[in-house]
Formats: sequence, structure tokens, C-alpha cells
Amino acid sequence: MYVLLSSAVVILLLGFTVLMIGIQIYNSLVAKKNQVSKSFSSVDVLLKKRWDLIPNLVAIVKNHMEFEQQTLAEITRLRSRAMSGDITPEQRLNTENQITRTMGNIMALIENYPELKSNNHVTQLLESLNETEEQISAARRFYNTAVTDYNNAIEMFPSNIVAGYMKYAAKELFVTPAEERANVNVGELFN
Amino acid sequence: MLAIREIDVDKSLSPTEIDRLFIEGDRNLHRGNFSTAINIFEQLLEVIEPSHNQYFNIQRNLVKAYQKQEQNEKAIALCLLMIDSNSNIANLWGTKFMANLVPKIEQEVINKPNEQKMTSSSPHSYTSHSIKSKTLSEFKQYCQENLLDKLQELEKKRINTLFTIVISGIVFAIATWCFCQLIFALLQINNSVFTFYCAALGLVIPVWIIFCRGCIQVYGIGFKHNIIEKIISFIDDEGTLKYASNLFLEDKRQTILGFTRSQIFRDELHEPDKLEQEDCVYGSIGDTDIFFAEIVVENIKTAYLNEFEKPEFSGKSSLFHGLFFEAKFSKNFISRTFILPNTFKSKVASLNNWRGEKVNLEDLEFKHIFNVYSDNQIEARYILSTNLMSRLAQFNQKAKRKVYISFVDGFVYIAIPYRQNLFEPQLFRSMTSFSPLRDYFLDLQLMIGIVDDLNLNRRIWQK
Repeated sequence: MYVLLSSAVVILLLGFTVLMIGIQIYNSLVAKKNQVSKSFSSVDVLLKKRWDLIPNLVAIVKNHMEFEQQTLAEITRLRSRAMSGDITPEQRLNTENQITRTMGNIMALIENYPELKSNNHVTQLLESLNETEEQISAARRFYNTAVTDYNNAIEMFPSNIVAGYMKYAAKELFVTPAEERANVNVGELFN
Repeated sequence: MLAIREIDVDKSLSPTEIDRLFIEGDRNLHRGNFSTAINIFEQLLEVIEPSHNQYFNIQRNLVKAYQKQEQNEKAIALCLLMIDSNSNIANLWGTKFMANLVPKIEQEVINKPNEQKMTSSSPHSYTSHSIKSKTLSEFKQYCQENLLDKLQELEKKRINTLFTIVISGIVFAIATWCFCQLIFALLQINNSVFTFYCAALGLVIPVWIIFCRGCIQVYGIGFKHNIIEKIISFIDDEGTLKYASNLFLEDKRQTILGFTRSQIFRDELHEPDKLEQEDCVYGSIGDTDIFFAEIVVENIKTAYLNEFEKPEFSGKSSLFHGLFFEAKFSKNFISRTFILPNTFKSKVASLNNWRGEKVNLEDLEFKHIFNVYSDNQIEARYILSTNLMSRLAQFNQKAKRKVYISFVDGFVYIAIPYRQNLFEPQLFRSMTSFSPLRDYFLDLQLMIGIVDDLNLNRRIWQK
């Protein structure tokens, strides 16, 4: 009787411990998933902030930049595309990357127009845009850290078992486009 | 890198490769790596045809890179080529740029003889954007040329002070011994005089220490003005920084507020009980206003209220002693980010979590040296760009000490603890030897160099 009671207590304790560990893993996985969502929404907020700045930039510079009307039309088109709800997340990401590149080009082009550079509105706008670009980059880094933590948790033992029951799948990182990532060794290229 | 190996160097580049190289050059130009940008654009111009749609953009960027690198002759030559070319865009741009470039160069040529004539009475007549770091050999030469007389004078004072201290010690000891003997003789005491002598020494030694302190203070008079101020003016050769060995109460209040706002060692709700500062350096380097000083911060422990219900002080504990730096940071932010040395002590201290949550950053070297805490994960990453992380790791190596940094409300605060009192004349080391001077120079240059080391002059958009 005594042995039976002791075994029951041990089994009960073991079961309780396993349950507590399971709850802890479950909570930690939910927290990590929410962290990923939170970080993604931060990126989204900043991308929308950039959308709001684009029309102002186009309105200010369109009369000055005789040679780059095509670039301005392109950025307007990309903005409309990114804002339209009927694109997939991958397409949206692609479009945002294209906006980043085109914005970089416009900022470089503005340098050729002293009258634009000396315009206070343009300076302030570019300052805001540059700041937003850096904030977007910071938010992407935060998102990537959150996704890495989450992916590690759902692939590592024993949390992968709980993640399997919860049907959690690995998430994609924000990846820099190949053409931006390539680090060119000029010496090697031209020798 | 894989893509580069696949390119056959004998063949001309594909349009994608040209575009990629152009982007790379453009990026280097905007990051300030002008020599790399020049290299890329020069090579590109050799490879592509003038009819190529990127030809004008490459020429334009190359002119800018030449100008930034102060290779004005090359910039003008390329502008002239653009003006002579068949492209209308290149003609127009070249003409516009030449109009901007040439008056600037003429102005420089006109100003040069005037600058040479400038006397020391007008040190603030032009603005600088950075202070060039000086080498130890340059400093040694400066010392030999400018400080040697003062140092020899100081060395004489040092020897005299040491001599006075030693002689006064002997005189005090002998006088006390004689006094004890006299007392024993007068009172006809038969006990051993030695015990009484030891007790008398207990009374005399504090008097002797006060006398020694006075001697050391006299020895130190003029040291800060003649040596430390000169070292600062050597490092800051453009005269944009000011030095004060001590500041008035109002300025001390500013330092207390700065230290409290920094929240490096305590949360902002608690002002330090006692803060003393000396060797204050303040002014502007480029667009950045800086202040740094040697500070001692102490907490006074109150144990009980006395009969008049006033707190009785029972003791004090040191919170911080060392160099404290404050400057406006180049980015706007409203959160708090703390960078602490990666030690067990700081990990334990961070458990008291007024510093916010831990921030996991990507730079492994940085992570190895520092722990980062912040109350805004995104702003922490916005402040700590990959470039700044590597600069901070380098700065830590240069300082060879624990470095505490905080970014609060748009300001950067840096605290570097020291055990000893800094920038004081040495009593037991020869002042004509280079080693104490080297220490002063390295400490001052470390602090003044923070603006360049952390690139605080970088503005996101400059007019």
C-alpha cells in the first residue's frame, strides 16, 4: 500500500513537472511568435510612414528635375503598387526594396541641383526620408532577430515537439536583394 | 564574391555587372569612401563606351569623388571633357558644376596667403570639422619645443617639494623626540620614553600630513595652466575647445544634471549626493558640442535622524570616479539605450531592470565586449548601426578600460572609470621624463577623439 502510494506521488510529481515545462515552453513559443508579429508591424508602420513622404518629395522636385521625370513616375507607380492590397507579401517586399533603391537614386540626383539642395523644404524632407530609411533598416534588423529566436525555438529540442503540436512553421527573414548585397572586388574584375 | 569569379576579365562587362559596379561606386561615394569610389568609376569609364546610358552618371559621380578627395585638377579636367562631349546632359551638368567648382578653387587660392598671414590673435576665424589625431612622436617633439622650460622648472619645484617633505619629516620626528625627552626629564619619569614618543607621533603625524599637503598644493600651482592647457591646445590645434581646471557652481549643476540624465550608474530619479569635477574641457568639434571632465561622484549614507530631526551622515560610498563625456548625438531619438561592459558585475547590476530589456545585436565582436539594454528595441538598433558597433568595439580597444555608454533623449554619455586622480603633477616621478606627459596626452586625446571615433559629426543630411 505504502509502495503504491509512493509510486503514485512520484508519478504525479513527474507528470506535474512535465506539465509545467510544457506550459513554460508553450508560453515562450507564443511570446516569440508575438514578438515576430510585433516586429513585423513596426516595419510596416515605418514603411507606411515612408509612403506618406513620397508624394511630398515628388511634388517638390518634379519641376526641377528635367532629366529624371521617368524616375519620379517610377517611384509613384511603385508606391501605388505597394499600397494596393492585392499583392502577395513577397511582391510587397520586392516592391518596397525597389522603392528603397529608387529613393536612393532620387536622393543622389538631387545633389546635382544646387537650387533644390538649398531649398529648406527639400532639406527637411530628405532629412525625414533618410531618418525613416535608417529606422526601417533598424526595424528589419529587429524583425530578423525576432524571427531567428522564433525559428531556433521551433527547431530545437524539446520546444520543437510543442511547436509541432501548435503547427508553428519557420518564418522567412528579411533578405537584402542580391544586387544590393553583392560586394564587388574591382581590382579582381579589371585586372 | 562568387559572381565576380565567374566574370571573364578579358570580355567586356555585361549591363547588369556595370549597373552593379555603378551602385557599388555610388554607395562608396555616399559613404565617404572616395578613393574606392574613384577606383571603381575610373575603371568603369575605361571599360564602357561613351554611348552607354550610364556613362554620364559615372562621369558625374567621378567628378564629385575627385572634388571630395580634393583632386580638383582631375575634377576640372573631367568637367571640361564633359563640356566638350556630344551629350547635352553632360554639357549642361559639366558647365553647371564647373561654375560651382572654379569659384571655390579661386577662393581657396585667394584665402591661402591670408591664412598664412593669420596671427594667433584670431584662432576662431575659420571652422573645422574634425580634430586630426596626433601621434606620440609629434607630441614628444611639441614637448621638447614648447614645454621643456616649464617642465624643468616644475622638476626643480618637485625636487624642492620632496626635499622639504623629507626634511620636515625628520625635523618633526627629532623635535617630537626632543620634546618627549624634555618632558620626561622635567617630570622625572622613569618609564620608557619610547611608548610616550609613539603616542606623541600619533598627534604630530596629522600635522605633518597637513603641512605636506600644503607643500604639494604649492608645487601644483600653475601646473594645469602651464602643462595640461598646453597639451589640450596641442591636440586641438584649431582652438575650438576651452579648458578650465575648475568651473563655477552653475556649471557644476549642469554636470550633475548630465550625470543624472545619463542614468549609467543610477536611475534618473536619484541625483548623486555629491559630485566634484575638475579638468573640464568644453567646446565644439565640427558640428558637435562636447563636454568632458574628471568627476568624482559619491553617495552619502544617512543612518539616523538626530535629536533635531536632521539626518546624521554615517559614511559615503564612491559611485564613480573617472572621465565623464557628454555630447549631442547625430540622430534623433527619445528612448534610452545603455551599453555596459560584458562583465559579471554589470550583468548582476542589470537585474535591477530600470535599464530596460536586453538587446541582442548581430555584431559578435561587439556582443563579446558589451551588453546592451534599452527600452526600445528598434531605436536601440537605429542608434547602434553596424558601423557604430564596430567603431565602439575599436574605441573600447583604444581606451583599454571598461567603457560605459548611454544614449538618452538624443544625447550620448560616456563614462570611463579610473582609480587614480587624473591630470595631476607627479611627485614621485620625474616631470622631465616623457611617461607622465604621455599619460596626460593619451587620456586627453582619447576623450577629444571620441567625436571622430564615433563619427558624431555625421549628420544624416548636411546642407
